Amino acid sequence: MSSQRLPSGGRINRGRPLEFFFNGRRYEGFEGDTLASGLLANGIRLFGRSFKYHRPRGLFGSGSEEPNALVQLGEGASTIPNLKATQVELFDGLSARTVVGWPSLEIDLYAINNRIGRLLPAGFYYKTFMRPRFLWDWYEGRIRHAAGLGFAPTEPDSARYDKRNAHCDVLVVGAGPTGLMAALVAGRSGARVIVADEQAEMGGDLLSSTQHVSGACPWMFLDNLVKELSLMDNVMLLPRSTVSGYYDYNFLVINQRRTDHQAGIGDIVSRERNWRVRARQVVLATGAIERGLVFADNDRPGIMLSSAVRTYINRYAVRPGRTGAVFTNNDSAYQTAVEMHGAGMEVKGVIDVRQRPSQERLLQMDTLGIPVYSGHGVGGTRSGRQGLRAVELCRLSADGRDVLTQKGSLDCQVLAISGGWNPAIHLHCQSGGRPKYDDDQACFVPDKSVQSERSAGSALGIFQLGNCLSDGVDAGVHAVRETGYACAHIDIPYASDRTGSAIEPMWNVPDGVLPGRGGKKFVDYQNDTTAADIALAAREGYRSIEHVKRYTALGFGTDQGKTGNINGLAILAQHLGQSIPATGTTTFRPNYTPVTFGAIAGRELGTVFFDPVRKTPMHDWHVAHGAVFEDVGQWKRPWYYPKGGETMESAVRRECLATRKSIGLLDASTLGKIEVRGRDSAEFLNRIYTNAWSKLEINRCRYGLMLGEDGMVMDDGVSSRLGDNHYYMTTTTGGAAHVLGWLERWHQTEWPELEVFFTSVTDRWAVASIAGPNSRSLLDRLCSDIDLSAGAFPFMSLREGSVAGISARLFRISFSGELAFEINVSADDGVALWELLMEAGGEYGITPYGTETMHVLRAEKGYVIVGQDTDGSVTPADLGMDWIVSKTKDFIGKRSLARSDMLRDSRKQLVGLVTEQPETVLPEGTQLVNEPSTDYPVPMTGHVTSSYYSSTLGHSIALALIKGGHTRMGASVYAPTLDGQCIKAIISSPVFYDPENKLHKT
Amino acid sequence: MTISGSKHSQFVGIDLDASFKGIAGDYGVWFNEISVTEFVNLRGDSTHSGFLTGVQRVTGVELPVIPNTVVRSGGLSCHWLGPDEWLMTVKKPEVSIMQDLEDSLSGLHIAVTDLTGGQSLFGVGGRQSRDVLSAACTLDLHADAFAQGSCAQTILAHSNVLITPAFQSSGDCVFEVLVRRSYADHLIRWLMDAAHEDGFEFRLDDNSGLD
Repeated sequence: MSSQRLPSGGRINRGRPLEFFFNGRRYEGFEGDTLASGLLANGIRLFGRSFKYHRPRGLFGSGSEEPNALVQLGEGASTIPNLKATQVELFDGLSARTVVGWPSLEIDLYAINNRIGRLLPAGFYYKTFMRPRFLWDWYEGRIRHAAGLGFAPTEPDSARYDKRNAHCDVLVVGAGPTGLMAALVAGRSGARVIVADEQAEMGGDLLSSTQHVSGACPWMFLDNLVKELSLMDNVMLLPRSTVSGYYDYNFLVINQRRTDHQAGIGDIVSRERNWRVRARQVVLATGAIERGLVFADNDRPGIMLSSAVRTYINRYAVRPGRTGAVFTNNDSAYQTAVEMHGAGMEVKGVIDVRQRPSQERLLQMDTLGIPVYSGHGVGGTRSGRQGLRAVELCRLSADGRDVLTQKGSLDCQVLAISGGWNPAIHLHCQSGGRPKYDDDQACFVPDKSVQSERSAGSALGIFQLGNCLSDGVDAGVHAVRETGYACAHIDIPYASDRTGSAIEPMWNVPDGVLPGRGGKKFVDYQNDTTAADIALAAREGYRSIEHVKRYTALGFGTDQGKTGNINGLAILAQHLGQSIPATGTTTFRPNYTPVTFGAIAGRELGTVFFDPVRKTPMHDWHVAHGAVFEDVGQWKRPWYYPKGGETMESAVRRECLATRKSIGLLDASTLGKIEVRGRDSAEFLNRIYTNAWSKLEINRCRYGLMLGEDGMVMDDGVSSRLGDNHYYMTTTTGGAAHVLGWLERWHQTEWPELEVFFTSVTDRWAVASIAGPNSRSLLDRLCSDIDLSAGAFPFMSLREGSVAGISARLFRISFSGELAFEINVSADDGVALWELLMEAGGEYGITPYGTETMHVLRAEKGYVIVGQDTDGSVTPADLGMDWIVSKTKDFIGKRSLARSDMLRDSRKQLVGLVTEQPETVLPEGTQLVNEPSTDYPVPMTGHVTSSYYSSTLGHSIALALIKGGHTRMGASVYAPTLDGQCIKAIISSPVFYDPENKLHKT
Repeated sequence: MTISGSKHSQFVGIDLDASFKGIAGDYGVWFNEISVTEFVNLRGDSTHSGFLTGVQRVTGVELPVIPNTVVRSGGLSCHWLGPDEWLMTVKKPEVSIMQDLEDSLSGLHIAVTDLTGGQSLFGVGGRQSRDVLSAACTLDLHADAFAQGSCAQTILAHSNVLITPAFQSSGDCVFEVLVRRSYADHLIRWLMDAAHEDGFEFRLDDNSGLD
């Protein structure tokens, strides 16, 4: 494999040689190379095997349009599958492998598929592996092995991926001649500009060009332009950045690849960055992508896009082969013949399907001694060990539909093909714009703009350099004016363009043999979709291009059919006997090129950053004292405090008994807290809660239930009256934000006439709840300005005063059934209060307890937890809480409670359950049945909502929702378990502890 | 150095020596804690002249009625939060406006709510402060778009925040970030992580803004 590097030229740094590895072999390239150009320079032509037929494939393109040369880059956790070798920048030590080919690229046993290709038409898998159904799993494994592309890493990727939000006046997409001129105008005018380009270097087609601009060589012009832009503070240049999606309101997403082109950068810099940009104006200077030609055996290594050949020669100083030819239907590829000739290649001819190429071109070729075969096509190709060896010529009929005569062959290693140009209208279409077919240029161009964007240059169907430069200026001026800046003066550079591309469409090159008999004519290389597949789809009745896409896989894959789609839909149009615009394009969806999941996730992953972690003021105390935490909404709440290797079960038993016998201490800071103020506060509460609030006295508390409009329990909590028109509402921990929004919604939309304000004070208060028979004694020692006696400070009332000198609000409310005080202090004082209580409570054996003990204590008392014992289908009556539903006033949900279904006897109702075996704890959520039957299906009668072992009672307890449960006290139900057992339990009252509420009166 | 158990610190549990230098070799961002002695949420009817004058009588400033603006004077800031809602911060220990507002506005439909202790305020400054905030904030933080006198309620790292730019005489901008206390720890950790490339340090000084 001789070196194909040209002795001079190219935008490579010959002073910086790089070593790299491909399929385990060592090669050398230069800084500025891509993996593709580096390998091509080493004489490598075989880059991969095709997806389905496992045919040998080489480079086809030179950028993101590449369908064939897919590689797996790197190894281990950071490996990336299916990168295009044309986009992978070379760095020292780079290691890549081809993704298809088993056991190796050179010897691929699955290449048998090529021989039996006639048995594998479009839809083969759908048609063949449908039956028997049970064999699919086996088939799937075999198919995936045969057809798979790269592999995803199996270990977590340790690299960082992050995001930035950005705003700009003008976002320029694409830094070719058009985009750079637009950016220059906008930049000089003082607008905030972002220029994003998917390549490592700014310049677009200028990087591959030899055409002079304003009398200077293109690279001098380019370097000056980029330098000026890079010095502007108001311009941000983002290379290696693909604008992958265009969304509503000029919101665009840019995927920036930051480190993959460098070795050993470490983990400081993020590997990829997702830019989320809101742009006032967008200039889409995304250029155009050359399309291939569909002819027999058009996929040999060495058959490349004409533009790619030009790029490898000019930009990378690589000669793609010793001998070459050009096959075209337009003028642009003639320049490639010139470049090939200039690179010392023997150019065997230009095969032009047009009967009459322009005189200017003919003269130019004549001067170089290159024969032009006008009115000819390529009827087939032959390959040797390293790809293309010869192309077969045929003379075409005047209409291009038939072969008149076979005309021998041309020996060549490279065939540069051009089927015309497709403006890259993806982003225009994603923005909501439509594609419009341009008959003269045989391509889709952007139709009217829908958002504040404008396509410019080649993306608009302008294919001449000089016109692109001036259109870029126009687009820049337009954007600057629309964003309100005074436009800076700019000299429009000029370039001597040859006129017109004079394309004559040639969608399916005839090969003179019966359909399906000759070589395969590939339309989509990556998916091995052929012209025959599309014809088959049409024969089988597919009409919509979207359906044909899904049937034949045309346009799927990592290249999304950038070079083949238009050929494919034109072939379909021919078969359907309709026009191309009538056939239409498939939908252009984000992303333009694949985006890694890492970039989409950014830093929002793991337990630290995926969702906020809310902490109470006492959080660090809990951590220091060994608490195990439970997530409640976004809050971290202590779950239990294990001591010296205790299990959860024993810790909870200890905490429960300590509370029932002496004092337990709970951090209740997470409860939602809302101050309600205004003349109509009581009226508002009347409408929100099921019970009445008008007569609540100042400094008294009341439990309330909120229902949704559907009459189902939505939230609950204790609210208190602080003053004349001043209430203090508490909500469940998880429901706080929803309840505040609920109150505001009803106030703002339905009852704006009510004078009431709501202010969240959840974070303002730290709440320590002490519960247990000794809690009053403890508080007596710390509190001197409040009479704590039962007579002076009764159950369900509040007092203001101080606890150990800390200003506090005390509430005599209890969620445990015990004598209890909730002490509210400023969040700033939370830790101090907590530590004082622990210290002063030492002699009572004060025991901090977590949410698990809280759950057990309240379940013993039969208190429900909204969201655990209710599920959005439970009414107050179902909970046995009719007593809290006012019969006289109106409230949200009241009308729903009168529906017949709400009065049904067989509704699930809350009851208690006691297991026959006292130690057996029913699994929460388990279904209940009336008989221990195995005659499946057994009718279900309810389910367990809460279940614990009660160390206070010495047996297990459960709460359950059971059909008609309120009338079934003492009846038996059964809980079938997963291991086939059936646990027997007796229905009881849900109140297991202190049913007479004696403790409340203490 | 860790401020452990310090009553007013929202950086409890964060190692204040955790600063490190970014790829530019310096601290591109700094964070500091801004001590506020009183946070007051005020609700009322701004079309009622008695309300506006009643507030001005206590605070000495005109309540901002233009959305997303802040008025600052002598250690007191009034942030517009909504057509009938403001947040006031007092940075002078000797001043308290809670009761004075109650008295001055008595008889009107108002709500004066003490939020002291429930809010955390910290500054994000330094060369790269905009860059670091833009990792989590979707608003345009450019000085032209988010000028002196603006404030904005938005989402930062999934947390509700109020951001106020404070331009110093040097032209440097410090962003004051107000967040509910329970989110402060999460938010600081998020921003420390976002400053991974730029580098960050904690500063103990408390001179963040112009007021």
